[in-house]
Amino acid sequence: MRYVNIFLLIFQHVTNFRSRIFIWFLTSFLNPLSLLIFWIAVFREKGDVLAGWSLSSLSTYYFLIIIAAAFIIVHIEEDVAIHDIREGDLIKYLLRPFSYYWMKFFDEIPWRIIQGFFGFMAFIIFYLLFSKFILLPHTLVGITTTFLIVLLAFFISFTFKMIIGLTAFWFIDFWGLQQIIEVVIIVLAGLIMPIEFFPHWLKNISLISPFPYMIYYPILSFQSKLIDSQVIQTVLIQIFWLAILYLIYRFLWSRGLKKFTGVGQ
Amino acid sequence: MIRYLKIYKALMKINLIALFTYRANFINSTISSFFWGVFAIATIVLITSKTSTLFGWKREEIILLTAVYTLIVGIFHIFFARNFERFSRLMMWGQFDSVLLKPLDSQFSISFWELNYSAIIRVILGTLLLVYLIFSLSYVINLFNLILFLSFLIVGVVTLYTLWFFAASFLIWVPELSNIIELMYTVNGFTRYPPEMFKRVSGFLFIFTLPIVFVASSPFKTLIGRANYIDIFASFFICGLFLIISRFFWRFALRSYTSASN
Repeated sequence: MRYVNIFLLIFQHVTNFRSRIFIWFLTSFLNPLSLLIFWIAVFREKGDVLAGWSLSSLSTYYFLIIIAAAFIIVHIEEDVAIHDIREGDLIKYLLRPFSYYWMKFFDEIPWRIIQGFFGFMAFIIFYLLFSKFILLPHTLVGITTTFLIVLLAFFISFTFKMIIGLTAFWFIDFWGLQQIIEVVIIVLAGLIMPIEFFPHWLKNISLISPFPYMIYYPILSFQSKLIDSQVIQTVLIQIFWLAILYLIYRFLWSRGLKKFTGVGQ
Repeated sequence: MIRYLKIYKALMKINLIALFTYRANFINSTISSFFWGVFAIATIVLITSKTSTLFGWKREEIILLTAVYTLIVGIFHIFFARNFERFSRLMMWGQFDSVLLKPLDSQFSISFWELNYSAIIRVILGTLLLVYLIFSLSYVINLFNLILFLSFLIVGVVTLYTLWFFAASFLIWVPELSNIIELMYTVNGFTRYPPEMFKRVSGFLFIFTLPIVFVASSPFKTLIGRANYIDIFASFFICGLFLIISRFFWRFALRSYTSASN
């Protein structure tokens, strides 16, 4: 219940920024759009099916990218690194009887919901226009597993970004690292294009990293492109990454806290 | 005019001093600028990785276009991008009065106040890639084409500037939309695609994106001697027209400015 109250308070705060969030959404919309235009032109020139993807499944992929990027990619690292660790706001969290991880989690959720909502609206419009091309999960099992995969993806993304935030205990130059990570995520998570289209070496790098399990596999699952054995495999690997990342987070948190000094407020 | 040049010289110096004062900051933004530059190139390399020709362009030519894009965006970031960020900040925090009260043209002090020297890394990156690709594709560049190329680079940068300036003018009515500047960074990304790509998808889309698609493709075409008079004329015309319109629009917007401070 107490976490619900934190959530509601932040939610009120976030709704003050509706118009700004709309621009953020437009920004996240334009890049996939330009790539989609590129692919439409390619399909016009090269034929109907490329590497097992039709134009409609590829367009759906990019539209889902917009929602997934808005909903799953967390931006908590800045808050953790700059406000909490560098400027010392961490003290106020340490003094409260809640877990830092979960408090940050409920700080972040309202932002994701509002941004995800814009993405969802865009998808609805898209769906009404092109519904005959889109194969969404329609069995109960399909919906449940998709939900599970998305949820795990969100936690992986959140824990990963928390780790990035915690590095501010050691690194003074947080910005450089953050920008590099951002670029790495965009490439390896499949935000540029489906990982199947990658050259082999890059595909291999991507698949041994946690990033495709944040964005790429949830989208495939949404598009019903995963067969049963792949679903189980995906969920297991997601749990594996989540466990690893959470252990790293705990480790960095206990180590970093010893380094942290803050002046009272 | 001479007065403004003198002021600009002084501003360049002040910005350089700021750079030496905040060195870590400079290194950070150089790193991030470099990575986003590499990212833009990598995107094109990746999405074209399975083909050799597209829209009548060779794959290497499309990558070469990205090199030109990197160069233009680099120059734009050095001279202009930061200024628009500053403007959105001023609007957001209600400090814009201080700009209007100075005995300077408001467009000048909005557009030329800060220089981002760290974006030089992008210009270097773009130039290196450009030179490498020109040699590996064994294009012969004559002096005339080179001069034409350089002047079209400037036309491209100015075209981008007018678009940003146009978008920034809206902030006078809606100050809280300060992230419209972030949106413009994404709009810049559209310039790295060949115009033929937009044409192939739909004529409407091509017209809609018209000012943007010429920014990088015109310098590119002049460099390899493929430009026709229509390309050259269109780029100059669009650039000039937009410059005049955006100036009028700015003046028009300023009339509705309501001060937020005392």
